[in-house]
Amino acid sequence: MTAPAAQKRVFLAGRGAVTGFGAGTAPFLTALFAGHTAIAARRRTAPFAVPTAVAAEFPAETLAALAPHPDQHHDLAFASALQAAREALAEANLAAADTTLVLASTKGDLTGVLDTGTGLGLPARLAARLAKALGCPPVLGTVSTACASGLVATALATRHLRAGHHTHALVVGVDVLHEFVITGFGALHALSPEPCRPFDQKRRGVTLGEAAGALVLTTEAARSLGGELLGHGGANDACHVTGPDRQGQGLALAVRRALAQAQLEPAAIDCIHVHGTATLANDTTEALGLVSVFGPTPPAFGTKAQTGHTLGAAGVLETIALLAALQRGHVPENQGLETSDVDPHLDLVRSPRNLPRARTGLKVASGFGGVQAALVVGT
Amino acid sequence: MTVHATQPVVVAFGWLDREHLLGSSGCHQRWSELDAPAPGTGRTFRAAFGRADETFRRLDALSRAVVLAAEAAGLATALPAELRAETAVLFETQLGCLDADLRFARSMAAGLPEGPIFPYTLPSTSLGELALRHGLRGPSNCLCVLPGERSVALREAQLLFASGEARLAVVARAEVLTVARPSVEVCCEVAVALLALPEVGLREVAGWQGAAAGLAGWLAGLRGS
Repeated sequence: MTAPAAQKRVFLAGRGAVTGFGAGTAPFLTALFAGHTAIAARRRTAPFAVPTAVAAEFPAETLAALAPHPDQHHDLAFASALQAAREALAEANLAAADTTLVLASTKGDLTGVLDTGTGLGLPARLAARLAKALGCPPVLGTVSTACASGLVATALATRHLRAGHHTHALVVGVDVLHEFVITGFGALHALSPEPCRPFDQKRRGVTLGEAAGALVLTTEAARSLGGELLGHGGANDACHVTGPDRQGQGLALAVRRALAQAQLEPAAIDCIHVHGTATLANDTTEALGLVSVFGPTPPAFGTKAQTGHTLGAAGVLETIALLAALQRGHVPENQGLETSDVDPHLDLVRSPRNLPRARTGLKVASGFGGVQAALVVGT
Repeated sequence: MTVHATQPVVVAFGWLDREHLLGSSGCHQRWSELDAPAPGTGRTFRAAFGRADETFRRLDALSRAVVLAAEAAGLATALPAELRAETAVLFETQLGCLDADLRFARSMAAGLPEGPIFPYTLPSTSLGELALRHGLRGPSNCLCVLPGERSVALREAQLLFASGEARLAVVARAEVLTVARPSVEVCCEVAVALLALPEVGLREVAGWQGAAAGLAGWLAGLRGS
């Protein structure tokens, strides 16, 4: 083995979002920190026969801008991803030609599965279209690791940047509400009939949302928005493909690996953005896994009761939210949480809390297939 | 943070196509001998390996093929138990879980959405079936590729090695479609390899270069050729 060489630092340089709060990172963050929720009665997806009345859909004006005619709704994944990517590139003041694209999506473009079209639920096809439309070089990677896709994609991009393969990377996470996906969650009895309530003893499952999120990562410190990716870690539960490890050991392993890469002790983490899907199993085991690493944890918050579970976009959007919490020195409350029934050592924020000295945060995610991911972000 | 120069060795391999199921465990069977078309039926695991896999019967076609190829590789003996928690799992696929997608879509069209198949409409679920059978708890990733893109998962494995995030990885490429679609033909081709850094001390297995042209072509990506 040759002598180790120093790796590059990776900074956050641009953000983009299209969510249930509309197009743009600003409305997304404003709504999150104001305690609003995008979960409402289903409108565009109302014709789908599924056991829930609610979802976090794109608002009407955003839908109209992305897809002016209803026959364009099949292309919402592409349109929203493009919008978020362009916003992030503009904030980073970078041309797409100078970045490499990594896409995160569970299903990409589902045209051709239930109807006609060529998407076929193959995210690589969506990534290639997106790269072409933006003017990016060939796609670096397309990640589909279920609900952990966004964090796994961010880790992939970070790895390449640290190794010096590229200077800038554009990470885009996207999934939109499609009859196929909502029906699938319904068939698994995983949908909450009412707005989801992560970690609450009355939680009844997931509320789905749709979104695109984008991050520009760079090794040029001068382009930093004030955020740095300090470490990432991955693991697999290796015990069940849809249910989590009952003790949260896989999640804990991912967190420990991320902390080790960041060369930080658990005590250095000032706040956690949890996965918090509001399924019975996820929330309980996530709490156990985090407590096994931290003991009593730093303040923990989740945002799926506000954005819905946006699947492949979640990791990217929630990293943006974590960075904002660190920069504002303020974490929003966990919406819908009245009585926690998970390990009480998980410090779930019940009302907006100021953390003026917060500098370092942790983001975690889990996905079908036992995939676990963790990211340490610093300011 | 440091980066390590690395060149892994192939410790075990498995291969499944429409003719054969073979691998470094010594398994080498034709589908005609297994009395089933590739990638087999719910009984194929027992027929091929002489013992039961309790949940094999409920797997989708993609997961079934991946599990069979991994078994043909002999992961159970080639990978010491104490190294499994640090073994990464990387999956590369062009067609992903299109086969399960179409099956779930048919169940929707019939008015009875088939809940048990829905998790298999995510390619990471097949990765998970591999991970849970062999206790692989390292970093996991499922990479979707375009036609003609090959060895992307091998590239990512080498980057995991170089960054010090893993010393071993089970890497798979899998394309399975049992019902043709316009512009997409029926196919069945799966490669699985256990890679390890020399420092781990596992020996390189002989024979992967001549085992199957598709396997050799894919693993040639390790050398950048």
